[in-house]
Parts: sequence; C-alpha cells; structure tokens
Amino acid sequence: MPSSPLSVSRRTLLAGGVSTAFLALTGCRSAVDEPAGTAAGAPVRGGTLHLAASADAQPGAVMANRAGNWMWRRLVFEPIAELDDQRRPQPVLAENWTYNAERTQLVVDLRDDVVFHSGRPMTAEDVVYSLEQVKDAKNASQLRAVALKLTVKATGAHQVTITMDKPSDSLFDLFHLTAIVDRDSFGQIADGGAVVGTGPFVWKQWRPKAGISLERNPKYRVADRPYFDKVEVAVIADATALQSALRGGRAHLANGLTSTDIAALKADSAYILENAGGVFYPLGLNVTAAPFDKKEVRQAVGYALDRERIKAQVFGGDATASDLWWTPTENGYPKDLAAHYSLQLDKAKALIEQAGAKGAKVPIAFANLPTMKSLFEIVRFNLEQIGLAPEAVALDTAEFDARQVAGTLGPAFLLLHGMVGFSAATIVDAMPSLRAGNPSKYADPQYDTLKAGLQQADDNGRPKALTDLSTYLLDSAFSHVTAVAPQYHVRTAKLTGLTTVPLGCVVATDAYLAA
Amino acid sequence: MLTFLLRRLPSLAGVLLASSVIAFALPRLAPGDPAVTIAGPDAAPEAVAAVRDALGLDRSLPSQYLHWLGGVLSGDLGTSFTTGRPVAELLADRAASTVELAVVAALLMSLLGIGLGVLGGNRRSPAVRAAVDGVSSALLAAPPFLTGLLLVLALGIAYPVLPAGGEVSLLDDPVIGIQYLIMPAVALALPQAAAIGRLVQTEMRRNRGEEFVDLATAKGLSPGQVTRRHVLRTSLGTGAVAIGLRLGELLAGAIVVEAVFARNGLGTLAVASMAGRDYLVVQVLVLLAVAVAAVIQILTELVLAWLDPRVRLGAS
Repeated sequence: MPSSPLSVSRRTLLAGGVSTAFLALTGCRSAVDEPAGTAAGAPVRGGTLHLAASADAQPGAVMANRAGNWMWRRLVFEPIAELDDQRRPQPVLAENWTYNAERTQLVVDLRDDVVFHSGRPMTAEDVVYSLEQVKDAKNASQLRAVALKLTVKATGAHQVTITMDKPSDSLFDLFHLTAIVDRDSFGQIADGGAVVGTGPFVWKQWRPKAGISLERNPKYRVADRPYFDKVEVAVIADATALQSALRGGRAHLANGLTSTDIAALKADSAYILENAGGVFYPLGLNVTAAPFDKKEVRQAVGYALDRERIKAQVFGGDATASDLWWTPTENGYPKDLAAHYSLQLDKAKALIEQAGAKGAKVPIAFANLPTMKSLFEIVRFNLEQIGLAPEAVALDTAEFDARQVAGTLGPAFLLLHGMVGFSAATIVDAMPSLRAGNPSKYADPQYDTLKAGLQQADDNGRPKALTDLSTYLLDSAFSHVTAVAPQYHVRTAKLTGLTTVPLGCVVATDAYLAA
Repeated sequence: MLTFLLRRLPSLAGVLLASSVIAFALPRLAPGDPAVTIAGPDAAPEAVAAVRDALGLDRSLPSQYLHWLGGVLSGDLGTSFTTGRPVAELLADRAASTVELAVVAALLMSLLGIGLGVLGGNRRSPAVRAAVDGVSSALLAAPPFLTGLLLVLALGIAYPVLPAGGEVSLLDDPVIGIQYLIMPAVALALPQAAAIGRLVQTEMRRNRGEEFVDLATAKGLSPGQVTRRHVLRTSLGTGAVAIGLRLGELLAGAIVVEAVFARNGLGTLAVASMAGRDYLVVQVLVLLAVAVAAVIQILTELVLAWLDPRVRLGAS
C-alpha cells in the first residue's frame, strides 16, 4: 500500500515550521553581538562596559578592601587621595594637603566642585563622617586601628584637619581605602538601597549574587567624562564560566580567574593583564603549640622552605620569593634581608635535632583551594626533609576563615593576605598574621616598640626602623612568608584607558572601547 | 476528589514541618560562620562580634528557629545575612530564570526523547537502529556539565554563533532570550532525552509484537499508519510517565548548568548562599524544594485518582 502523502507533508511541515520559527526567533538579531553594543571605535562617548567578577558586591563593606567591590567601588565612590603604582599619594577629592613640622597634624583642602549623586554638594563634614565610619567595627575596615588614632575635624567648608598623638605613616593608606560617602544615606547602603558617592558612575541596580548596573553620572566634575554610558558587572562564580565570559566577548574585563586561565590568556595578544596588587602567602606557626613553642624549630622551618620551587611550581614563576612582609617599592626596603632564610636543609635539620623535635607531628591547616593545596604539597615535602611529620588539614574556605578569626587553626597554617599595596607601617597593624591578636598568638613588648618605631618614623628614620623590625620578625620566625604573588584582572586589548589602583579597584573614568 | 485532597493536607503539613527543622539544621551543620563571611577573614574579632550581634546569631538555636518559623508562617521569609535583602525578593528575582530554563529544557527533552524513541523503535534498517542506539548511549553517558562545556567551546568561543554565557529574560526580549537559552537547555535536556528515548523505543518494540498490531497490518494499514495509530500511541504512556519523573532531575541538573552558563537562577543562588553561609536563604530554598516535590506528588496522586477509580476508591 502506498504511504499516505499526508505523512510526508506533516514531516515537511514540522521541519519547515521548526526551521522558520528558529530563524524568526534568532535570525534577525544575534545575542553574540549584544555585549559590544554601541561601544566601538575611538574615544567617543557611549556604550556599555561589561565587567565580570568572581565575587558578589558587598556595599555594606564599602569601607573595607573586598574583592567583590573591586569592580564598582572606585566607579561610584572616590577617596580624598589615592596611591599610584609607586605608592605616591595623588589627590582625588583633595586639592592639596600640608603637614605641620612634627607631622602630627595634617590639613587637607578639599575640592569645592564635588557633588554627590543625590545632587548635594560634598563638604568637609562628609569627609569627617566617612573617616569616623572607619572607626566603627561593623564597617569592617582593615584600617580601623589606623583611624582610631586620629581626630578629624572640619575646619572650614572644604577643609579638614587631622590630628594624631604621634606621627603616622599610614594616613595615605587610610585615605586610599576610605570611600567618601554621603552621610544622609549611608545608613541604607548595606542592602544596596542607597549607594551614593561622587564618582563618575551612579549606582542604579543591584541583583544580589547576580550583578550590578551603573549609569553615567551626567554631573561628574570632569567635563566629558566618563565615556561609557553604562557599566554592567556580572557575578560569575564558576571559574570556567568566568573565562568563557571573557573569551566569548560577554565581558571586557574579568577578575578572579584561576592562575591556569591567566597563564593561558597571558600568551594571547588579545588580552592584557592588569596588576591588581598581590597576595602574601605566609606559613604561620603557633608559638603556644609544640613544637613551635621553640624558636629553633620555627627558624628551622624558615631554612627548610624551598621558596624558589614554590615560586616556580605554584605560581608558574610569576611571584617574588622573599622572606619579608614588605614589597621592594617600600621606602627603606631592607634588600639584604629578603633572602635571610635561604634554603639550608642541613642547618634546618641540626636545629630540629637541637630542639629535640625530630618526628614531631605538625598538622598544617589550609583553605581547600587549588593554590593552597599546591603550596601545602611543597611545604609538606620540605618539612619531611628536615625530620618533621606534617599532616594536611584541608578546610572548607568558610570554616578556615572562621577558625582564623577565632584563632583555632592549630600549630601551623597556610594563609593568604591580599594586602600588597599598603605601606609597612599599615601592614603591621592590619595584616592578620602580624597584628596584635595574630593567629600565631605571638606577643612581645619589644615587638610593639619596633612596630611603633616604624609607624612614627619619618623618611630619614624609616630605613633603620624597617630594618630593625624586619630583623626581629625574621629572628622570632612566628610566620614565614613563602611567596608574594601578583593577582590580575584580565581585560580585552580593545578596552583602553581603564586603570587599576593598588589593592585592586578599577577606575573607568577615561575608559572606552577601541575599534 | 476534594475529600481525597483534604486527606492529604495533614501529611503535607507534617512533611513541611519536619523539613523546616532539617532546613534549619542543615546549613548550620556545615562548619563556618556567616559573621566571618560578612566581616571578612582578615576582620578583627570585635568586628566579627559586631556583625554576629547585628544578625541575631548570638541568640540560642531554638530561639532562632522559632523566630524564623514564625516569620515563614506569617509570610516573612526573613532577610539575607549577606545582602540585607528580603529572602522573598531574592527568590522572586531568580525564579523566572530557572523556570525559563526548565520549561525550554523540558520541551526539548520531550521532543528529542520521543523523537529518538520513535526513530529507534520504528522499522528501520539495522544501521539506523545501531546509529540511534549509539547516539543514545553517548548522550546518556555525557553529563550536562560536560555537554555544556563542549557547547560553550564550540558554539560560544570557537565559532561564536551563540552567547557563551549570561541571560536575557524571554519576557524582556524573546529574540535574544531564546539564544541565551539554547545551549544550556540542550545541555540539560540531552541526557534526559536519551533516557526517555530508550524507554519509548523499548515500549514500541514490545508493542510491535502484540496481536492488535498484527491485526492492524492485516487490515491493510500502511506501516506509517500502524506505527502512528497503534504502536506509538500505546507506547506514549510510558514516555509520559518518564517525562514526569525526569522533570525533577531536570531541576537538579539546572544547578550545574546554571553555573556553567553563568545564569542567575535558583541553583546558583543556592550554591552562592551556601558558600557564604547565608542561612536564611538556604533554609527557604530547601523548604521550597520540599514543598514543590510534595505538591507535585499530590498532583500526581490526584491525576492518578482521576484516571483510575481504583486508586480513588482504595484511598477512601
């Protein structure tokens, strides 16, 4: 029997219908071209800047340095002054500043043409209010200890005077980190309801754990800036999806990429790496727990760490193998001490024997992240070489963080601190591994004296103060820096004029997409 | 039928109450502290204490549970620890994305599944059958995240014809929105479709041996008519049951697929909330998942009772 002609026509109709529907739906416009939008060409105004972040925004922590805020904080808010890549302070909302002879008082003259997104002109009272917020523990600023030593007063409509009992070398770190906020609305910032700054972009919408939309500030104090009409920040937690967003053209810049992905993108001329500061990777030792209650054992660990191997294998060669907590850009950096603990296994073994610690079990806690696991493997090998018996304590990141704050990480622990960019005077107070109440439980009046000496030193006295403190830290050996590695934002080469300030925030005032 | 439904309600309430205890306890069993997540790992202890106090985490666990349960019963799902936003608002913002993905994937799963089943269960040459079997096996073996990654590499990056990630709501812009949905929906649907296809194929082959098929052939119907009117129709019941069962797995798979394609659905919200120890969001999502499963179960029972009087009468 011949087959029904209807069956053929049904198939044809079905196939044709599906094809037509697909073409009708997708043939007209392509979503692939959408991210480019209208933004293309020379530095002309318009278009949307697409940024991708691995962590969500935390508007309630705008006073702190948080990776989730790097993509938008400096677009919406501005500081009084910020540090350039050589750590020199540059005015932003300030016109100029003057120290008194004793360096205990700083008078800052502010710009008089700054207006908040609400339309209200910025005054000295806003600066006083913002610096006072840093002192509030709930705002979680890493520089709270610095702010607590200051008295800030408005001494004119556009002038503030900052007074200290003793000179402080951390003032401009504080300025760099502190966003000047609108005192009328700051109480509603935590849920993103009112995020009001003075920056080139205005906060429009926050979809928690999804993204942020910003729009151009038409009343920005710099004429014809910014170039972009909008900024869209997408939160993409999955590392593979983050890389796909960049390679697929959905994002013009991404942060939080894995080191493997960054290495691959580095070799591609279509992408450019922006140095977004860096991370210290220390091995902390609890001085109240055996065997690290003995200084010889702590020093032996220092001699056992193969920092060059860590640099090569964990960071692909893109790190600094150093024993110091400061970066070479620091004024008075004691270069001679940077390799104090060069690899000396025999010396380390002898110290372990001398302390009677051979065979001692050493649990090492670390966050269960790829970099930390790789780092642990080398540290474990090194400690086994000198006769210790290290054990892995891999913890979920949330648990690790909770234990770090509670001071219950155990005898040894691998930490990471993204504080490259702060001065040494700030680091000793802000870095969890070094500050009072550190997880190593190390405290000593002499240590406090040396820290105070550094913080109060002027340019002439700083090299000696920094050398003295560095020598002390190396000798006490309660925490060993294993490496200082940069961290990168990766952007498409077409994105021009975008800069990254120390500690990671992007600045897009002059950014545009080249043709 | 109404009586049948009313008799199910007490057990539904019991399940939800028991689930609320589990939902409350589950995130708290995981180590970590939401106050540290908010204050930051480098925060001083006093900063963490200030956050803990502000969130009410210093109260006893029974007090926190009763406070939360009271809120849920009065329609207040609480406020997210990490974002300060109402949990209901977060869920409403994300639900549409997951529903869109699930609906499109379900349609693809049904069409592809039945299509594969018909292709394999039809009278075809051994080569075609072998090809269909091979394709089904490959699809069954490929998890959605792998299919998703391959699709992204092929169609999102190497030959960029579809967006590699992200989303636009179908309601806002259907033309662009469907392009964002194609790859994740395909990745999600393929393994489920293969499973459905296998069932339909097996059922069709079994039905071909039945006497009513021989009778239809003897009556002079064409092979196509026999397949459509007798074999396929009697085999689709199995397919329909399989589709229903697979819908649940589809929603579970959406969590992975949302991550691969950077879609902002309930799955990514759940993962992000758990990572940040955002207890109240996790609690409500767990409770919601249980509620949806329980409601689907009751609806299924209702449909079965409607179709089969023995179920209805047995229940009474």
